[in-house]
Amino acid sequence: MLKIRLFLILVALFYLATASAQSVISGTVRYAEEGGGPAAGIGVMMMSVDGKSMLGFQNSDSEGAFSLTYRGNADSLLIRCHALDIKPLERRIAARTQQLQLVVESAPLSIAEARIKEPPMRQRGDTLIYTVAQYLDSTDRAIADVLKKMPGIYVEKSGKVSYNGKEIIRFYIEGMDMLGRNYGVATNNIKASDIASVEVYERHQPIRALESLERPDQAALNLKLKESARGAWTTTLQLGGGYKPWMWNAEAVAMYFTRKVQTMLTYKTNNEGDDVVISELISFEIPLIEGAASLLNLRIPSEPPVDRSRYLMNNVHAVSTNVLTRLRPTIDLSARASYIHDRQTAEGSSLTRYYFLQEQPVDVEELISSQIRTDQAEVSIRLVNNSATHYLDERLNITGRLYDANGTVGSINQNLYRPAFSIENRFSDMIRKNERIYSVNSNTSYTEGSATLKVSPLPFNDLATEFAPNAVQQLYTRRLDSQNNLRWSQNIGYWQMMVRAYFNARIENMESTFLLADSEFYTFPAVDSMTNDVSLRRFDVILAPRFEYNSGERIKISLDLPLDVRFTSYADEDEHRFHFLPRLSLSGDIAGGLRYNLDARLTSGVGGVNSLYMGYLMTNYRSIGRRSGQLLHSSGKTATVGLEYKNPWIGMITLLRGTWSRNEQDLLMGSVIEGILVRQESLPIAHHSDRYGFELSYSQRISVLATTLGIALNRTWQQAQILRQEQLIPSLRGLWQGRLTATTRLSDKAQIFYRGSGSLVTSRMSGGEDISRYTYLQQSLSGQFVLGRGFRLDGSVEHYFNDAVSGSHRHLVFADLSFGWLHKRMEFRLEARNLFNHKTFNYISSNNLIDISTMSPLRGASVVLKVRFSIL
Amino acid sequence: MINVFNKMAFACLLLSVQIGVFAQKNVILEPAIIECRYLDRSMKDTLTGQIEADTMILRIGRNVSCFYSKDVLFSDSLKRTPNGTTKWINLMGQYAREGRSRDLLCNDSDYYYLDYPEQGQITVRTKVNNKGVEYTEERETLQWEFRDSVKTVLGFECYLAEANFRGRKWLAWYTLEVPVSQGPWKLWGLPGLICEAYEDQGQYSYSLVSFTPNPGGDIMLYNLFKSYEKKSRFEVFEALVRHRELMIEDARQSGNSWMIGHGRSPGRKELDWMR
Repeated sequence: MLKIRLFLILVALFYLATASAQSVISGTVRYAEEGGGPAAGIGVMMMSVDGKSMLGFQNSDSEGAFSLTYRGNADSLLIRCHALDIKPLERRIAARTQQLQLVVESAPLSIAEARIKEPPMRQRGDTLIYTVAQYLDSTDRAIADVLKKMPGIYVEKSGKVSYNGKEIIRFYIEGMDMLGRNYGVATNNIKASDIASVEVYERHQPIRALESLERPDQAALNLKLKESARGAWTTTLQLGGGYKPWMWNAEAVAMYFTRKVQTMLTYKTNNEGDDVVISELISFEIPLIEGAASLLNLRIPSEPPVDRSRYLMNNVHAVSTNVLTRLRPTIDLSARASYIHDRQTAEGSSLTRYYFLQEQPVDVEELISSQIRTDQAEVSIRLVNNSATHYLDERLNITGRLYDANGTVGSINQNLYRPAFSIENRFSDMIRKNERIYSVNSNTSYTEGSATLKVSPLPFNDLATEFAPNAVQQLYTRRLDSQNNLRWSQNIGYWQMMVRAYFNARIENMESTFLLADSEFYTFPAVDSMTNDVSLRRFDVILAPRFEYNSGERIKISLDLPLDVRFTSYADEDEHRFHFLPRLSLSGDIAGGLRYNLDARLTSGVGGVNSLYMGYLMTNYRSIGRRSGQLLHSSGKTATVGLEYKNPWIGMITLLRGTWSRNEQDLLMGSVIEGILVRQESLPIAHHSDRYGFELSYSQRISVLATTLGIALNRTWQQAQILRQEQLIPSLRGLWQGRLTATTRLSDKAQIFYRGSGSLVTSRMSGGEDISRYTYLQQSLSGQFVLGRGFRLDGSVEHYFNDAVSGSHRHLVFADLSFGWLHKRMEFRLEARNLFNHKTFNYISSNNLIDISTMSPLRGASVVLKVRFSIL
Repeated sequence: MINVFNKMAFACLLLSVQIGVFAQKNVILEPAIIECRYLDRSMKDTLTGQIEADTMILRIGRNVSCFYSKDVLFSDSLKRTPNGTTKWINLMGQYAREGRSRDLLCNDSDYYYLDYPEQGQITVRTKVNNKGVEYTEERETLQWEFRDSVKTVLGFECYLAEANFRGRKWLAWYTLEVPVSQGPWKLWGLPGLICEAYEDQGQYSYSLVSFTPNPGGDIMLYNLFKSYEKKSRFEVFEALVRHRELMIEDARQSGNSWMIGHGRSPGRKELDWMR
């Protein structure tokens, strides 16, 4: 009985103890005003006395009542009341069960200030959207300045854009393709502040009729304009002058964008080393005209790997007009015309070292100067109908170029006159009927060029005579190229079956004459061994079936099985060969932003007419050579495997890719070096070269730090055989390349950029030690600072390091400073360049067992004042 | 993918073609004093980790709040204009070509009216088989457990709290800087605005991406149908599941295999089904 009583007492004590640890704090909240009515919807918080821990919460009900339960051992608690329209109330109370009467005072509605944040980029289907405002800084001018900060996007100085390691295939402005492959003029001139967002179409199909049927692994970029930038002319002018030497810079840019008409007009001129030809006017496709008569060259100083404006002595005038009009919702008509007049002068000295298998290297020293004048005019017109069922693309491009260059190498004069002309027509017509596609494509071009190279005196002593010390090499080439195909394809579910039939034709002719000349350049008749008249006709008939399985993001696999019957005819030779060139591609998403791709293919090619000449040809003042008369045949194997990872929420894009390729040829070009002279000849020696490589890139926008970080690493090995001094030399070239870029916004008024790249190049003859090993490092740190009242300061420091260079040029540091003032529509900029007044840049490069040491003169310390203003 | 989107868009169109014809006028409830935008992420496929995201809007008034999808409201509003259905079809076609059909679609197409018609109640309007339905229920009080963790969301100092709701554990970060006891979807009852919330399986989450005080405009009761049939939450969900099964069966019989694999799941409503 006693035990039972004790047990009941213990239970009672335990209950009392528990009850004391649980306190119920209840009560009502009332307004101090309005007669003390109940205050509903007031947040009543129960907190620890230091206010750091939330212990309970309840909103007061319609009667203003609340009830909070506290389980704990604290002596005191803090009760806080808050709502949007009351003064916050705080009361310290004992931690025990009690009733509270809380009286709150009304207050004006008070809400925290507006905040808006968006992720670094967003993804909608295959489209990545970068909001420009997230990356735009007050110091950014052109859209290229902003694109550089966007993860995954890489912009070259020329304005060429790559996304995740691959060049984009289209550059749209408001969904319209005005500029084609000449879009550098847009990236370097369109105002960043006019752009609302940048869209990257990751797997872009530019032909609407093929949408949902084919999704190529190619990216395109679209600029979405702000509403304020639509339908208004934007015109800016810039004038500038400087010293030393006397320099000028002027430009006028006018743009007009609507949803139906787009136009862009530019005129640029300068002699301060700003190469607007490369940065804005040259197409990113290799123009046909480049191939015409380009066998003959003037020996010019090598270009050092520094910004061209540091050494380029130019005088350029460049004008371009681009117009696009949308005739109907699906029909665009665009036209483009450009004219370039450019004079460039250069000086430099170089030391070329040729390595041999069992002999001492031979050094060739050259002191070179050159003056080059280039005039180029280009006109193109394009009509596109891009509807869901019909695609028509008609393009006509006409280009003319005149290249006139003079120069000296030591006491030898050289002159090259090289006019060229090309006309090209591309036509494509495609019809879609449900899941079936019929198309015809034709690309026909004609290119013609000539070149005359004069050398005085000719350094080949066995050719030159006392009465004919000079030489004239003349060359004339013509080429007609036509590539045509018919296509039929049928999609069934995830499958696509396609058959293409090609008929390609190429007719080429090359005539050349090497003439000795007297001191007045009166020429003597040529001998047969120094003339060429070579023609090549080539026809390909290809039947190319293709099978594809495409289930969207999960997997896409395609197999190409083209059979090529190739007929070639040259001299007295006729040959026909069969080539089977399969290709397998596989790609897909693994999970959550991780994507893989694999590609393996066989390729085949034949040389052009340039590989057939048997008479000697002088290609530059110290190189003369000929070919065997046999047609070059080559075949290749390439395999690529890659992994991509993308996470838009944290703004990260990464890539890992490995590549292997082998190229086999049945002719090998050999060279014999005799003093400064190089004699070249091709021999029927089958050989191959192998290339292995991998690349890793990582890019991320770190929003917290307002920083975009980019890291890239490349490693390649190349094995090849080199025929030199009639000896076959197996060579191995290794290359490490790394790049680190970071842009950081320190505040609304300051941002800094770091860009560093380095490479390690090794060359060796197989089985031997490295015969050359160079480390090269280039890094720059620049900052942009807004000082207030329209003033801004830009500064940059560049550091170059080349361990093969000795002396003070091993490390070279450049510094530039720019001071600007923006007043209404006018901007003044005072630029001080090359503050340390470096006059020369030394550099050593290596390739194919040839090292080239170059010393290039630089533009010294100089000052330029520019005035830039908007007219409209 | 675009093909699938086209077909999905067409299906959505069939479901909603009558909206513009019979809709009634919207009703102004009260002025909005705060507008919050949340990034609503849903893991579409737990095996691949594929995520879809939408922008949801929470408009807060003194007494009533409303929570809905930005894109769904745009779509529904467009359909209510003259020739709205045609405009919507054209726009969907254009978006599909541009690979952004999701701009007109959303994982959560419901309109949530918080503290409406009475304080402590919630009304949800949606459509089932092209008919408007709504249910009203008591706003469930979540039993939040407060944690001491602190982090910053959109510049707001936020504190962590945890609660079980509809069968899942939710973690919410709320801020005392905005003293309103509201949050996305049906999450509420904290001492301040919920700036971020996610359930512990990582399948659903909300992140505050924009906060605008005094946004202008009113909190509207959107009448997109002539009438809304009143049902219970479970009845609505059962009707949705039944409707979806019928669509899939219909697609299977007509050979539209895309629907079987890509038909939209009830999405967030699955959570509502949990007791």
